Amino acid sequence: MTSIARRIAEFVLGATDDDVPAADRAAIEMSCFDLVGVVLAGRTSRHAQMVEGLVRADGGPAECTVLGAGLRVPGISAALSNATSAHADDFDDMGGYGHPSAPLLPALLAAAELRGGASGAELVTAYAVGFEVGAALCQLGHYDQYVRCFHSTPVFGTLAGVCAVARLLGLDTDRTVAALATAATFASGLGRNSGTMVKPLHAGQGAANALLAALLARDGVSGAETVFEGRGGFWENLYGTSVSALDPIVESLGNPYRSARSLFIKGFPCCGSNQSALYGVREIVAREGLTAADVAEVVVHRMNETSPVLRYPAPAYGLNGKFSIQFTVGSLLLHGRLGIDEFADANTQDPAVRDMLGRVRPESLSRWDSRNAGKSAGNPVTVVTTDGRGFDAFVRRPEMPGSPRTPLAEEALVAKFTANAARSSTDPQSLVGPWRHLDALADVREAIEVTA
Amino acid sequence: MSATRAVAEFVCSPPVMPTDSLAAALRSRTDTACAALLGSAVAVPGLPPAWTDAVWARSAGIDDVAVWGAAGAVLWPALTAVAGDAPAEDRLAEAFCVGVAVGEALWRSGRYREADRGFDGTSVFGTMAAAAACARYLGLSVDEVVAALGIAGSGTGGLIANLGTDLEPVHAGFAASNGVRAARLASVGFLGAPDILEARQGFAEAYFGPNWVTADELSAELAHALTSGDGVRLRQYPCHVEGQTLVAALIDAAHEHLIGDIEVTGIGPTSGAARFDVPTTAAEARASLRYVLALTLVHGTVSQAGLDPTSVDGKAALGAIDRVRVDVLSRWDLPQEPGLIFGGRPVRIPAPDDSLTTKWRRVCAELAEAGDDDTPAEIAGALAG
Repeated sequence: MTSIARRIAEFVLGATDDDVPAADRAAIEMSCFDLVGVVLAGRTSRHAQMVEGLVRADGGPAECTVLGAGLRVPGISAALSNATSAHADDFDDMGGYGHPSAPLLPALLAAAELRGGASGAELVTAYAVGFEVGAALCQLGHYDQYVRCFHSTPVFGTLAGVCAVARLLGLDTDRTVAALATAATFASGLGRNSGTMVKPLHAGQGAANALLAALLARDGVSGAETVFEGRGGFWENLYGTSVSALDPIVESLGNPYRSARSLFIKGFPCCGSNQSALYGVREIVAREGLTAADVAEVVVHRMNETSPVLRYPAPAYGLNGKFSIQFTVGSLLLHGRLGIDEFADANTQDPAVRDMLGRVRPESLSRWDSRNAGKSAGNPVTVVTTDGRGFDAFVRRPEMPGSPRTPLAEEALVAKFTANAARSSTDPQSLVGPWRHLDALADVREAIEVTA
Repeated sequence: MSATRAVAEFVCSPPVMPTDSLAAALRSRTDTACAALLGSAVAVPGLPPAWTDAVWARSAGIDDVAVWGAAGAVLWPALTAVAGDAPAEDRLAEAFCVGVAVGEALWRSGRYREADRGFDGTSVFGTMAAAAACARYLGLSVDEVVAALGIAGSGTGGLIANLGTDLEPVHAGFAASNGVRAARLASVGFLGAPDILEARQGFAEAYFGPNWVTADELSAELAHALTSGDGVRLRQYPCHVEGQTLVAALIDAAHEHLIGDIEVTGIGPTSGAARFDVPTTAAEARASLRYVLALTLVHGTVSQAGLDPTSVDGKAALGAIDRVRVDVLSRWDLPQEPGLIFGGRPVRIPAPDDSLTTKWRRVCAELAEAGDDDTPAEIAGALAG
């Protein structure tokens, strides 16, 4: 019987540019464009600077570009630094398996440079097949990162990344199977590190490990052919359920492609589990003309018991705040906006912000509440004013701005990109052209060069 | 005090280091250096030296082991990487002992069962041990060690499905380099979860399940691990640790001119020594008890050259493999000590041999017999150094 890894490899290598529908290619282009802006913003954060400093100190062959840093380092170092920056502010896209582009695009950019160039179309197709594998394993396998303890972004990001890189580097089927076995063994990242500097590092690990796995395989390193279905393999260790689930997962790859119906562009730089409630609060505030002073309480309904944004009711520093529904909703009300600057460490100790924390009440569902079944549906909110009025809103997660059903308008997408890129670049507008239409780019190194 | 903080305080202020633990550390350092001379590794640009050195040290399968997995192959490359060109020798040995103790205390406190949980102990506990050892060497504060443990926790993993493949030594590289990265990042202010060991979705829940020990119990395990002195065992032969004394027993018995077939008893159903029945590669051969005992029968020992099933000695071993029967216990049998019956007579199982000199003299003789004069000279240099 053909192994799961071999069947995945055959899909990854067998797909053609034409197999990936235009809508999926457009969604990937949009995510990649957004991600480059997010990298340029993220790299200015304290924690991304530490990782950039680490790879700078390590040195090595000047093979690949750390975006916005004027720095060339070995491929795996560039992937580590760029992907950590990509997830540094939690402003990167989501969908499929957590944060798909943060590990995937930096691994691909490094691979393109190592290969001596690649067209944008090659890169988009490689992204598409990689995303298929990561998303299919995570979604159809019903992987629950809050129960299994391993953060989905590095686990599936490593596998998605290795598929994409193996294709771009031109590995054959045997070498791609070897790369998958290696990537599966590198899949790691504990969920507890959400809301700390390590969470962005998870994306860095995913990208670097994906690239490393492909390079090791290219140079002859092999692992277990049955790494997915074998005893002590990926499925048994990460899911603990019957391996019979793997057959339909593999059969679903590219049938149809799922990028266009999965990729979300984020509107707020914080954990995705905040976003529905934030859009709801923003809608009420705009509709009713409220200010923070008018608000006595905000109730966020239907919080799942494992919701990551229940973790830090009183955050100690900015990254904690990204996993605090009290902090995100409170800051949005107080400042009227919620961008990267609102997550500055000092803001978590601001008395005005601390005062707002107490006005936000997440309402958790018990484990036995049947509404838990719709945990990805989003969170209705109720705003109660100081004069006793109550206002409700519910922006369902699948309908949030930036979602596949409600994509961002072009102007909003470009505005997000340029605002983010301006944190590293003096001329962010000049970067829009090279990155916005990736699929048509003759060689992605042209875009990398102007972003170096 | 939290369990994570208890470990950090132990790392920063361990009890007085027993002399036999320090001696074991120095022995491990020499042994690891010699093992690396037999190894190999794929070189990818940008791979940290700790990664490459660990794969070199682990790849020949003759490096030493702690209860949680490969010790010297993970910890010495990691410590060498952070120590730089002018290492403080006394602090290296002390840091090694701290690392071994942290790995052992975590492993024991969680009653970790590698075969059931499915992650390689080398890359799970080795990463934490390497982070602790490097943190100790670098003199990090308690808060920084807490951060290092938080970062390192997210670098743990390694599927046991990949044992017996090229990736088994790669797991050591993974552990060493992730441990070094954790300590280095912590030293410049990078922060992880302050309760990575005990928190929900943390290390213990991921690897042991939701019920774990208290900080006090973990502290007791740490103190015990440090003072036990024998936390690291040499591997005399390039095969699984559970096969070591069985191979030694068979060599002794062969000296008494016993002939006949071999029956091995008391092997647990999840023993890594019997992972492969009839191997096709050298990596599989190391974890095939039938093969290494057949090789011992026909060749008188387990040598690196004989581990290749396609070599002359390897083919002879495969030809004799039907003379070796391994009786695997069922899950429902009580655990037993492994036993060896040779020619119908029980054979005495010797105590583990921790002699560096005996080990490397034998390996050098094997290499010389195979026509390799350079490596024995290098090994002699490492032993003298």
